Amino acid sequence: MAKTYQYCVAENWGKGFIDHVESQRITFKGYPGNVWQVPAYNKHGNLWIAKVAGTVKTKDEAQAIVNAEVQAAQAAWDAQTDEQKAEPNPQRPADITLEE
Amino acid sequence: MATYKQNVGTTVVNYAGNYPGAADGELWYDSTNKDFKYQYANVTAAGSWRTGNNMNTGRYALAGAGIQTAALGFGGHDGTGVQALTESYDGVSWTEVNDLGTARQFLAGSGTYTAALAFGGGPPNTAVTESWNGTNWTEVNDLTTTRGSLGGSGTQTSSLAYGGSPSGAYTESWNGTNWTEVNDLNTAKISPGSAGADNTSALAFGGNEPSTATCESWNGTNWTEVNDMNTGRLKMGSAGIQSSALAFGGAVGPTAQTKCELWNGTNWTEVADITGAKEAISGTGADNTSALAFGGSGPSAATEEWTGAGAPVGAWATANAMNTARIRAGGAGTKENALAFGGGPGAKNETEYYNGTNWTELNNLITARSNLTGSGSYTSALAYGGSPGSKNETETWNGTNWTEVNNLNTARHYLAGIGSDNTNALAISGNTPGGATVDVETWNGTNWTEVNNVNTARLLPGAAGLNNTTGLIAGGVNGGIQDTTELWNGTNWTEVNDLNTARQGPGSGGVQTSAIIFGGNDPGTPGVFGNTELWNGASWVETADLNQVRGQGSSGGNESSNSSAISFGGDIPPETGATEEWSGSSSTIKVLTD
Repeated sequence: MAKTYQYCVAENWGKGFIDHVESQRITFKGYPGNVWQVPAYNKHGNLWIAKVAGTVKTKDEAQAIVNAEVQAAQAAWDAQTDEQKAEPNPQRPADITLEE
Repeated sequence: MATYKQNVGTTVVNYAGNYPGAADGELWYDSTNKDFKYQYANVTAAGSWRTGNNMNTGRYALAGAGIQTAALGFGGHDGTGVQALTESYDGVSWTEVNDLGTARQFLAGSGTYTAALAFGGGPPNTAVTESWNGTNWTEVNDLTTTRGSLGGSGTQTSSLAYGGSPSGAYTESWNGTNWTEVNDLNTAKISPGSAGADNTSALAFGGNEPSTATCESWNGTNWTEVNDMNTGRLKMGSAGIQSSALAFGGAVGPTAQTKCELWNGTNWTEVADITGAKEAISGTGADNTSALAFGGSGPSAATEEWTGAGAPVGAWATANAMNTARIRAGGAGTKENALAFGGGPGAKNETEYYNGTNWTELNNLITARSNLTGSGSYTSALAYGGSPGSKNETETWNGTNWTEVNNLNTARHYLAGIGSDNTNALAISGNTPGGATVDVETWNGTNWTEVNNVNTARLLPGAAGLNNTTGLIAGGVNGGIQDTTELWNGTNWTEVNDLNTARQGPGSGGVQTSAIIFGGNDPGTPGVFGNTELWNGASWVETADLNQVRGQGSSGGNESSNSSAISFGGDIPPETGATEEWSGSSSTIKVLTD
């Protein structure tokens, strides 16, 4: 099955990392661990990854990075006192499943 | 060979990089990259309908005049009887104004919302014509032929009446004083669609039972058959002029329609449907890029606004991150001049200023806290509420320092706030030791005073408003996730149309008639999201997502419309200092290639 998305790891340096033109052209989704999802087989997605010097990851590699970040956040939440956990917010960080 | 300046009228600008002052299509030379470039605005490829606020009285077979943002609806039938009611639309809300002198349905209308004409209708069929001066209707000279279910278009001083029952094909021209019979339609049309600028140019389409798809164009002397509609129908809504019109709803036999067709001066093309099937619906609008549909069978009070292809497309862009990553900070200011203060995890007191490029640390809050709210500008802001526990501390910011002032009456956290500066604000809902509160307090620069409650208590709603007398809240959580929206008029809260995506802890900004909400999360759905929605005073519509999905973020909020916003901080997880800027319009830059 042809994949819909591709993933890379790139540190968001701020202004110019994703500009308005790029954001209008393709849909970006940023995940924990500096993992970025952009459309697969897409010229503008490929150009953006090159611009930010992103390290391309397979979906499984990207998922592992995201899992590690989420699990660390979950562990930090679990380490809170019962009183802190009783607060309605924030909830325990949820697992994230990347799309193919 | 002619030079570029001779052809275009300007020289090619030499600029190091992308030229920010370039007009649509203007060529410039990028001396850094050694490229010739041009740019054009990104716009929507197709038109769409969007719900507007309802009329005060639902009715069908009414007439309309004006444009999308300044319209008049008059006459019709409300299900109990024929009406003389007139309502005026200001682009956001309908207001009842003075009635027609003669109650009637299936009448025709022309003109603007301050200078309109109402003619014909029934029952019984009438020739009565009335003129609207922005305040009152005055009877003027009658049509020469009594009729109802007619078409009409033009202005108060130059209109055309055509078709209708029982005359079918008769056409009359109005010169501001009298109606004069002119050449007939080629095909009789009862309850046709109509469009036209004056008595020298018009378009008549559809009508009759069984319905016709024929369309005729008026040149001031004769009607000429032009290309047919795709779906013949009668009792449709219509808008526009001879060369640029829209037809929507109506009936084919006994079946009400949702179909909408766009006339480009040559052909009819099917475009996006109206929301609900309606016949005897009314419409008005300048052309096929901007129209209003209202009323119709039911009787319906619904209003829908049409925006044609070519509307600006907005987008988020990343910006430089805050120095201190945080969630649920207080925020103030705008995309160009924003302030972030406090936040979590734990309780922070750091204050940072964003100048449109970078964040700089400034003097800290006196009371470190998270889950607070803020409002105002970067030189005159207010921080109030927060946690741990529930705080009532209020601090004012003068551009340099925070100063403690009088406390909120009800200590709370997870609240929302709006306000222009440190002299006025509204503290809305939130969480108290006793649970979610409906309490609202207004700040006058010295004290907090309780005012009327919100209808639905909620934690972590989004809010928009530039002062304490007009604003809105949307979303939040209280037991279940919220999608409801409430408007504040300075006295009371009123529930209006819901968000498309229920959420808690979104960023937000803008004003009551033009707001934006973005990001957040739903405790019942794993993860956070980047969904962005725009509010036009009546309804929310989804637009481009944040690039970095996040919950529990913050925003400046002090923007005057939804065309500009800033999002900072939040929970990815973990907490982040990431910033994004929203622009309601965007451009594509093209490079000339070999």
